[in-house]
Amino acid sequence: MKRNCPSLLAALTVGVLVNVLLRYQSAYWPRAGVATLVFCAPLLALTGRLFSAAWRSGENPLFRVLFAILLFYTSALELLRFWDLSKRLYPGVLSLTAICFMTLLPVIYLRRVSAISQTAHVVLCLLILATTFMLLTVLPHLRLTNLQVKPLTLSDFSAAAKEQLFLYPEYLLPAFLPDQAKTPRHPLLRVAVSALAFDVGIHFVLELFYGAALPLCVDPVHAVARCGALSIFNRLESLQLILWAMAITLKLALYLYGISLLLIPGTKNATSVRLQSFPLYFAGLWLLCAFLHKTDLQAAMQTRSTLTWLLVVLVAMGGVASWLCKKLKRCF
Amino acid sequence: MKQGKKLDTSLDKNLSTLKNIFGASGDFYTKNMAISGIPCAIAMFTGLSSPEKLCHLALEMLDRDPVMLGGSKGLCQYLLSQSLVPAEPNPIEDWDALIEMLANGMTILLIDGCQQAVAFSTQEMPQRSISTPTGEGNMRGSQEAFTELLRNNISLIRRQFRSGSLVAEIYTAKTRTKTEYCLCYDRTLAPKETIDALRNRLAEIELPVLLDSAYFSSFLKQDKLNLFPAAAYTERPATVCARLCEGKAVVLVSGCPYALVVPSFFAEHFECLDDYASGAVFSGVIRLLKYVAFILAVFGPGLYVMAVSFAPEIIPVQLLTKLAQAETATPLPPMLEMLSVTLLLEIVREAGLRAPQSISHTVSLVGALIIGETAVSAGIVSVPVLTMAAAATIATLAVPSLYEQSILFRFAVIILAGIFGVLGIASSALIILAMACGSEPFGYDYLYPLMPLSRISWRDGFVRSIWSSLAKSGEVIGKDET
Repeated sequence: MKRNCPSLLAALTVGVLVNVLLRYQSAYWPRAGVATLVFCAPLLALTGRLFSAAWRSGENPLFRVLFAILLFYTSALELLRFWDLSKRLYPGVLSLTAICFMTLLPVIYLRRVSAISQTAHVVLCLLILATTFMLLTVLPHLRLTNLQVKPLTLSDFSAAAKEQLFLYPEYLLPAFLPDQAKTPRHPLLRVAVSALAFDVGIHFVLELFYGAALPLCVDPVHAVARCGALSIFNRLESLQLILWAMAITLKLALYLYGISLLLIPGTKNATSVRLQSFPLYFAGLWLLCAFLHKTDLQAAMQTRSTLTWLLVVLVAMGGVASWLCKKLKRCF
Repeated sequence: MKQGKKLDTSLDKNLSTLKNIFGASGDFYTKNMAISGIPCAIAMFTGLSSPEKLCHLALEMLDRDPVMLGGSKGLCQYLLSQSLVPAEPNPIEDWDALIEMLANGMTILLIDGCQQAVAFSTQEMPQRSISTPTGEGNMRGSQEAFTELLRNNISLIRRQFRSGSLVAEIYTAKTRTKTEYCLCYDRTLAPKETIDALRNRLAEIELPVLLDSAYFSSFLKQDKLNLFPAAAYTERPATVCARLCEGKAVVLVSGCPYALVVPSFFAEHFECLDDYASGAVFSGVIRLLKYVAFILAVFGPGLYVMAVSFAPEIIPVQLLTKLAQAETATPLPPMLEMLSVTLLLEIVREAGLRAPQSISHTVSLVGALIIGETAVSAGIVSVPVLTMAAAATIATLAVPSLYEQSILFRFAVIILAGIFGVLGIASSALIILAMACGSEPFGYDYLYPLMPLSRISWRDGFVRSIWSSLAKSGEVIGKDET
């Protein structure tokens, strides 16, 4: 019950799970997803592990700034993605400023690692409970006959692999997070497997619901939630939106903690973000969102993933170079 | 003022100094006398000490004692170490100690030719008798409550906690009024670093006045922006005893009938002594009901505003029709309507609480029945809004220790939900959750044992398991430290 540095595994898991729920369109057929999961999950975990090793070996200010920029840019994209979703669901109700304000306001209270960690546990529980609950309410609408039996082609597998190898910063953050208490073995593998398995599971439910129309549906998860019926609440999309907003805020808080560790000197083992950083963070993020609000988000997300992979390659090269330098110094 | 200075050897000089300090006070009493031919004087406050008790305990006995040799110093030594007179074991040597002893209700014996004084325990202070708790209703268990006297309160705890490991450290707070407080803990169960940290923090606190144990609370808070309390309060010695058995520390303040319990966890606000006297199933259901009541108290009105203003699709058609009919008949938008009704209910509550007891019932009656009924019949507020606000207010009372937080959160949720709809609810829910999760009373997780979900969450968290099996484990806070 008492911990010096609580584990952020739950926060990392929430961060990757919410990406599944916010997807604009379904990405692949579940059968292809199951097949690619077997090698994509270990690959993502391995990438994260290699990145950590390279980061510790060849960490330098340039990499720190680049990673911080990537996290900040990703935060803006996450906000814009959420704004885009809320625009489609509740047209004209919320402005970008309102979304920024409401999503970033709780981050003030999520500036401590303990707050992020514990809130992540609660949100994760709520996310699982709500997903199960919503699944139960739409159970009568799921048809086994909707499962597609047509043989999968190479392009189906390649689409699934491409989607699953989308690299989120959550896989790279453990490289510089302070050592955490009671971290289970292979944390990144656990995160990757749970995220990809959840993704495949959701795709499976969507296929049972939509059948052959699966690839065409916009906001598929939300549309499924709309069909859930209870005696009190006719539709459950609001509950879903509440949970998504909570998960995104948590994700932003985690990124902000990462940014503060990367940019503020002397905070390598800090367990909270300084309160003075918030005005700059809020203003900066709002301005960036305003600047990017007309960007094609799907393309921007794809670019972000590519940039993340590039950063991994760059840090890996730096790590290898640093390791070689050390070896050479020892030899001569 | 001779505070901090040593006593003089001359009795006259000491008496003159005392008269300079307390001479204007009507309750200050001095009397010259001679013991075995040595000039002495007694000093006391008549409201705090009893002259009869002094005569009975000390002076009569001294009269019967043989003539002492060794002059003034010999008399002092005799009183401190040999005599049967109930004197304090340590002599008083400076004015600070002397004034403190007098204020504590002791009688001071000043001896001519001696730089030391002797204190006698002759306290007889007017006090309230031990009564039943007024703010913590319980059906089972002890019905005793703390009073204002610190020593009495310590004895109430010690009567229930009859173990040699109970430590009661008494200190004087850094205040103008020199108020005493007591730090109680079980030295075998309480984590040492927690007790040391608490002791140090309490010692550092400087206050103009210390009238309540809650005055310490703000100083113990790590995050001042956090609205959740850093400590719990109880007026029951039995509850204190239970918390001590969990390895927690308790702070008692002189003049305050409420004990401060640290560290305090969120789940404790939903527990009571009756939980452990009732059956596991019943107490589990009651606990869950309290959690539901807290959620209703905080989010109920906000959810209503959000549903009516932004997301009517979540309401079944029949209910929606009734709500729409009610809302169209009222002039205010749902958010303002809910805010005004909630505010009015709080005003009625505050007036009922602060008004003299003879008219407080009238205030409640006028507020609840006349204003409520009139407002509805005049079409100023709708019945659904009034029903929801009343339900939330009643639900707040199910968890009285989180009353302040419930009220503040409720207003925030209504405003955010009324302006931003679903996102406002999400944001406010996350702020409240983050506040709860961000509280770290002395480095402990505030949501323990509820989160992270583990076996203990179900053993004695959301619900309670069977007492016979739960009692064996005896959960202690220091156990799972990492």
